[in-house]
Amino acid sequence: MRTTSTAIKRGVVRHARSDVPLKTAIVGGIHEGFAPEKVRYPFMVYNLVVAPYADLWGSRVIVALVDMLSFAENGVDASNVDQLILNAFDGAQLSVDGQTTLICRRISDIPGGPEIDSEGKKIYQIGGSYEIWTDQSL
Amino acid sequence: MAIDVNYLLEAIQAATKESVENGLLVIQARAQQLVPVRKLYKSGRGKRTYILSGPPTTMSARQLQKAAARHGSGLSGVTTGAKNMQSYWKNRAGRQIIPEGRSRATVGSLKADVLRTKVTRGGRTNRLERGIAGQSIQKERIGGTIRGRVNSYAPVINSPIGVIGGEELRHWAGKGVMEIKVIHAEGKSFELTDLMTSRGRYEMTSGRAVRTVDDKHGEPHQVIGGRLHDSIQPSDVFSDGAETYGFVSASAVDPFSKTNHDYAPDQEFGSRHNRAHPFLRPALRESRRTIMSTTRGPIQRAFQSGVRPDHNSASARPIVLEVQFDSSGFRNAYREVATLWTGTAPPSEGK
Repeated sequence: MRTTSTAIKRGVVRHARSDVPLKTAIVGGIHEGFAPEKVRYPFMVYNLVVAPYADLWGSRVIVALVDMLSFAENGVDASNVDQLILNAFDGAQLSVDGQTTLICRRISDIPGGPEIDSEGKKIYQIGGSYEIWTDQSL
Repeated sequence: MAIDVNYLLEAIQAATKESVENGLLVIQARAQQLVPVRKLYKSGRGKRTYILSGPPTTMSARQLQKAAARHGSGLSGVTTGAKNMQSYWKNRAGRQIIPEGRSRATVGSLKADVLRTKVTRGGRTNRLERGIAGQSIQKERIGGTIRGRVNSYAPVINSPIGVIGGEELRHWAGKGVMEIKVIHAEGKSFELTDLMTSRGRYEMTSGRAVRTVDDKHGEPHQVIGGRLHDSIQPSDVFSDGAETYGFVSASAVDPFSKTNHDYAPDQEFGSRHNRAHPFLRPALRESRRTIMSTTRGPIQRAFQSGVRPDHNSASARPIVLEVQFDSSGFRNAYREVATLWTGTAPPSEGK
């Protein structure tokens, strides 16, 4: 069965949930793209940026770029959660349905300045981009 | 075999520079397709709308809008003048104009004839489309204001501000226009805001999305929207040792922001308030294969124009092409590196 980048997103969430230190730290949970207003801090947001396909002889490689960000009310918490995300994902072997993970590595930081949320609180957003290579047979 | 190394290196450097320039343009074009467009008008998404600015550019947006309506200058594909005006636009690919139907509509307090048209790719295989296009243009002609044939590359409209045609009309309509609305206002003008979404009205009255740009003749035009889209620009191409690189950047600062906040990174990476709509990084990655394929050609031709070297010669060394993805103030410096061999094959495959 061939699968798409949706399976990669599912694998990312599954892996984040299976990592006990990370799951304990992100009180507000894991959100795709955007978290609702009332969610407690800190929380994690992931976003699939792009996932081009490359068909080789007999196999298909998907190179997915996923942003993973931590949001917290102070910079230290945000950095700590970001470090836990790094520990969990950099070099990890993700379990992706129908695909074999070749590489999962952090390729860039996304440093963000503090901003004000809807309740007037200062929020820190820190994270990084992760490149996930998967392979599946055609 | 004699090799003029200097000549060869110069040819390769020129070809490399050309390749990187082309690559940056590919990325720019794709990023401009992907960049999110704020919906300012009730019409189709992605439409770029221009105000022809007869009045001074220092006027407020609202004054400008009223003046534009009074003077009969208009928006892309929308008439606001006292006379009948139709406009349509086609590009050189030979797109056809297909009217979708005509209806009576109320625009603000005025009644207007609204003719919806759609511009699609041309092609003589679709007999139905060709027929509709031909008949409808004839049928819907009002006051004989359209001159030129249906499939003409140079449509001309006769508007209250004079005859507009050719390149000027294309510029007026904007490049991304895929749907054009033609409105016959029955001798009266109406306000631009009636055509806008609530978001568009806010942007218009606050003046946030109104800006001045120069056209290719250096004439200033008032434009609504498209700040982020137009900010996506390639840099010059630089050389540093063996590396040749350039970058594509985007930056859009809200003119009313006290902190000079740049919302390009917010679109690219998301924020606490809005989810991300990445456009630069997808453009880079999706264009990578195209760039690689277009890069090899000029360099290999440069090689073949000189003396073909042995792989063991000094000139058979890798050239690193770096497409850097960065801008001043951009929060994420992002680099992609493509390494090419200047020979026809890597050394391992040579002798």
